[in-house]
Amino acid sequence: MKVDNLLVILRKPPYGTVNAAEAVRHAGAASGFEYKSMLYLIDGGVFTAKKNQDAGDTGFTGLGESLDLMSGEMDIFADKESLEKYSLSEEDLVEGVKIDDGEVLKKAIKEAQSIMIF
Amino acid sequence: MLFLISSSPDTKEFKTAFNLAKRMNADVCLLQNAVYASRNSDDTTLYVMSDDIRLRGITENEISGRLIDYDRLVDLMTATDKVVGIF
Amino acid sequence: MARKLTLFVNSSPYSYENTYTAIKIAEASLKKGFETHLVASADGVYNFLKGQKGKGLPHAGDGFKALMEKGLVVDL
Repeated sequence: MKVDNLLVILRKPPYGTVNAAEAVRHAGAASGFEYKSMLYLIDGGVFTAKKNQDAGDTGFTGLGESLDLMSGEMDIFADKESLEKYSLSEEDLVEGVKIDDGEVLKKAIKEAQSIMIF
Repeated sequence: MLFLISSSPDTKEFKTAFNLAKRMNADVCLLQNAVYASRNSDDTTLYVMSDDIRLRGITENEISGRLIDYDRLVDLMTATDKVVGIF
Repeated sequence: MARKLTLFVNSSPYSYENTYTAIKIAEASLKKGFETHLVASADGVYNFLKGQKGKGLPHAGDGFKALMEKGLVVDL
């Protein structure tokens, strides 16, 4: 039987709007319900994978850490072109986030049963 | 005059706010997602909210500009003749 | 000279960071002994609804309530 699969695309940087937190929450929850889910970071969304995010006592959930924890359960990709635009390299990103030159995204959009865009 | 800018640098809102501030020779304080604009920038006059860079994993040596906290921001807001923000 | 600061909030509490920024500015202003006001309009009024159950983001209701106890004056 074909496994249900969900693609979540995040276009916004974290914290300023709730989009990043919701994208992470939906992708994570789907993977918990035995969906095959993928989180794809593009444009400002790539900042969600930046290392050393420190939520301290702000009340926000630190999303870098969430990605780190989730990366074992699901695929997380960051768009290469967006990373370059914001001068981010692989060393700036949390563990487990893979970099895509666009090929993975094309395939993922074609194959996804459902796509959520944040 | 002090402009408080919170939008992400890749948005129209940020560009409008930032250009207007520059045209009016206003001071600019970057808050929230606007702090990303202080990365790899050579503008040393910008005020940048320290709380918001820490939250986003940006370190002090990644940015140009003057790091401030909320205490200092309130001083700036009450010392200036006008505060324009947030957008 | 007593100084006065008035904040204007027009966005809802759990979609944007404005609630957090407003709480932090109001907190710093009160700490300095400034007369501190907040005017909420449009979706900003949702910051003051009772029984909010937001999680994973700063809690608007609790945050503003604590500041109101310290002298923040709120008008909707």
